[in-house]
Amino acid sequence: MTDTSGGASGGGTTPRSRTRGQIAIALTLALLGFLLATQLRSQQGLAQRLSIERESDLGQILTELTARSDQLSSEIVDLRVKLAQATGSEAQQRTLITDARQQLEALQILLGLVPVKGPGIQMTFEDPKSTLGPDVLTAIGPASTLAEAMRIPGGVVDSLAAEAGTSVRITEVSSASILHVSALPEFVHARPKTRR
Amino acid sequence: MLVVLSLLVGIGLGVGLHPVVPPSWAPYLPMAVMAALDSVFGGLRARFEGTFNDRVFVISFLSNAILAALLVWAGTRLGVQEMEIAVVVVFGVRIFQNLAAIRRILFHA
Repeated sequence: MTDTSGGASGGGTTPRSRTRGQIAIALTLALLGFLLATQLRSQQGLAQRLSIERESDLGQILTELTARSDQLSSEIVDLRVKLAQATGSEAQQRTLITDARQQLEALQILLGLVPVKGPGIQMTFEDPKSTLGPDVLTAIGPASTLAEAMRIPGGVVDSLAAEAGTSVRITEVSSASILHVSALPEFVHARPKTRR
Repeated sequence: MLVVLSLLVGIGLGVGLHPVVPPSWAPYLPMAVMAALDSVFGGLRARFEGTFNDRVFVISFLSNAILAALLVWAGTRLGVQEMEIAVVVVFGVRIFQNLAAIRRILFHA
């Protein structure tokens, strides 16, 4: 296992074959430089892609954790109800009512039944294929957190741009207001039973 | 002189054109680069030992690069996923030996 390139000496030593050899060596080394540069460059690109992938993984983990936390908080309310039912003391009844009020308020906000106001973000969606104007979406909450969450690699902004070519502009606003947008659905065929 | 110049031209082309490596080629290019580097150091050693032959150099450069890539490709086809390691070890050892031989000639040590 020595070198492969040395080999037997000799061969053509005329000036013409010497220049031919020089050109061949030059071309070979140019190819080596080209390969090296290409490989180094592609490695850089790969490193960037990997870090992006890791962040989109993080996004998925975040979604799962949020769902789990929602599930657990509703479980807390359920358990408190059971606890209050079991003991029936007045103080616990009161915490139960406070919990229920908070939940009601949160649900009313989520359903758009009450107007809300506060810091938040405004997202402008521009679809190049759409003949209508841009869609504007307002969300209330911690502005920088919301904006950052929208821009997570592989998240909302990225996937919209990749799938539909939609460009999204996000502006943080100190005071956004959302008017109540929908009414309670009207029950036609059945009515929820009032629980005791 | 010519050698350094053409190497620089190659690097310039690689940087200037920034070619995109197709994802399906991604595992094979580094192997080809390893093999090519091995041939270059082998050639350098032969030069110092006075046994350099340009024909052998060019042919071994090309065939080593292609063979290394082919070997890894065959490895993935056969389900030997770590064929890269074999190629890296073999060429790594050879590059090291060639560099050691060059050092011995240059510094007599």
